[in-house]
Amino acid sequence: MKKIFFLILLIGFPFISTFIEAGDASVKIIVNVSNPVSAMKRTQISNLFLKKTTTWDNGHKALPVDQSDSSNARRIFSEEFHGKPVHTIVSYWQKQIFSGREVPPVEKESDREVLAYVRDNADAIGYVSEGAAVGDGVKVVKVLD
Amino acid sequence: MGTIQLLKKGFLLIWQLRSFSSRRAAAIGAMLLLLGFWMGGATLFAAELGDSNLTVHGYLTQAYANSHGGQILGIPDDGTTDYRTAALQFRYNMSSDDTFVIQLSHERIGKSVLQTIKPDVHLDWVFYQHQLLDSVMVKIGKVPIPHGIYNEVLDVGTLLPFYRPPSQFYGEAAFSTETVDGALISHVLRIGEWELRTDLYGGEWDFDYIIDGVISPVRSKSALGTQLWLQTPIEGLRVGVGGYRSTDLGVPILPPGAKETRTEWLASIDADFDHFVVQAEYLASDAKSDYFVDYYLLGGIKLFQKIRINGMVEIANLDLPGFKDNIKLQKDYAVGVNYAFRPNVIVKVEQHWLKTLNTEDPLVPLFMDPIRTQYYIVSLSTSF
Repeated sequence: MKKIFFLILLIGFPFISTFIEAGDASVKIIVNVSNPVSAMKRTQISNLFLKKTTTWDNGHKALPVDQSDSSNARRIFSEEFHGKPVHTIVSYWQKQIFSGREVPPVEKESDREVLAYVRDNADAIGYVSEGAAVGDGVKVVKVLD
Repeated sequence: MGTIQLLKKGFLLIWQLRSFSSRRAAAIGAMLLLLGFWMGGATLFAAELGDSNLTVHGYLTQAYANSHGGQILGIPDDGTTDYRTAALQFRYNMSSDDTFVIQLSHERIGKSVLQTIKPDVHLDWVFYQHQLLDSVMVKIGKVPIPHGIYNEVLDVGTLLPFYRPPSQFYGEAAFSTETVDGALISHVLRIGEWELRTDLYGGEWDFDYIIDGVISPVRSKSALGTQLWLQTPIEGLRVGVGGYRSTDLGVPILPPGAKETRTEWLASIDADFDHFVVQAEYLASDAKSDYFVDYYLLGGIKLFQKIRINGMVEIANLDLPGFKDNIKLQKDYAVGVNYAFRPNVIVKVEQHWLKTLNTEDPLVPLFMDPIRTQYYIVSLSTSF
C-alpha cells in the first residue's frame, strides 16, 4: 500500500505541483526617486512591462526591469498585473523576439539587484517583494485598480 | 582596424549575402559586425541605457522524420535526422529609438531537392528599426513580412504547434517568402480594450518555383502588401486580414521575359486561450498562370500547462487556366502531442496523413489523381 502511495506521488507530483501555489504575498512597484509618478493603474504598469507603452508622460523612455522567470516575485507580478501566468508571458516575448519586433525587459535575479537597477536609472520601473526594504534613491508607487 | 572600419566591412560582407551564395562572407561579416559593436557601441551608449545594448537570441529544432508511401517535404521512407532549423538573432540598441537587427539561420530539409540550393548559413533578416512615435515603427532592410498567423515565425519550433505551420498555406521552402527587401511601417491604435495593428510593406523578394522537382528562382518586384490584426476585448482572440500585389519575373511556365501580376489575400482567426486554441486561415493567390486556394483548421487542448494535444486539417486546390481546373493538390490531416519541459524546451510527436500531388518520390503529374502518403516527426525545440 505504501509503495503504491509513493508511486502515485512520484508520478503525480509534476501535475499536482502546478496546482500548489506558494504562500502568496504581493509585490511593491518601485521607481527612481526622481520620477514624478506617484500612482499608476495596473494596466499602465502591465503595458510598460509588455512594452506596449514605452515612454513616461514626460517623454522619457521607460526602462522596465523584470525578475527571473523562476522567481516568486515574478510569478506574483505576472498574475496580479498581467493577469496571466509567467509561462504565457514568456511565450508572448518569444513571439515578439522572433518576429523581430521587440525584446523583453532587462531581467535581474533578486530584489537587491532590481533595487540597484532602479536606483541607478532615473527612468526605470521595477517590482520587489512586499517585505523588501527599498532604501534611499527609490520610492514605492501606489497601485490604482 | 577601428570600430567604424569593422562595422563597414561587416555590413558590406553581409550585403553580399543577397545572392545567398557566400557562406564564408556570412560568417566573417557577422563576426566583424559583432566585434565592431562590442568595441564601439557599448562605450557610446552603455551609460545611457544601463545594461548591454547587444542582445542575442536563438532557436533550434532537431527532428527525426520518416515517411511511408512516398517521400514528401524531404522526408524519405528510410527516415532522416537531417531535419533541423536554427537561428541566431543579434539585436543592438543604437539609441532608445533606433535598433539594428540581424538574424542568421540554418535549415536542413532531408532529401528535398531544395536542399541542393540552400546554404548552410542564410541571412534571414538585416534591418534598421526606428521608433517614430510610441505607436509607429519603421523598418528598412531585409525585413520579416507579417502575413497571417505564422509567416514571421515559420521556423521557431517553440512557437509552433507542429514542426512547421501548414505546409501549403505557408509554402514551406517554396512558392513563398519570409522577408521583403524594402521597408515596413507599423502602426498600433488602441481604443479601450480593442487594438488594431496595421503593417504596410513594400519592396521585392525572391522565391523558388518548383515543378516536377525542377527549381526555378522567381523575382517578385514592385510588391506592396499589408497585414491588419484586430485584437478584441476577449483576451487571446484576434482576427486578421492581409494581402499583397506583386509583379513576378521568371515564372517558368510563362514565355521567357514575360511578367505576371500576382494578387494574394488571406483572412485569419486566432483564438489562443489558457486551455485551448483554435486557428483557421483562408488564402487565395491569383495570377494569370494559376489560381491557388488553401485553408486550414487547427485545434489544440492545453493540459496542466505542459501538455498540448493538437489536430489539424489543411486543404489546398489549384487551377491552371487552359490546362486543368480544381486540381486537388493536397489534403493533410495531422495529430500531435507536445510536452513542454519549460516554455522554451518542447518535445513534439506528430503524425500526418496526406492525399497529395506533392510527393518528391515518386513524382506525380498534376493531371493524375493524388496519392496517399504519411509521415511522422519527432522533434525537440528550444529557444533563448
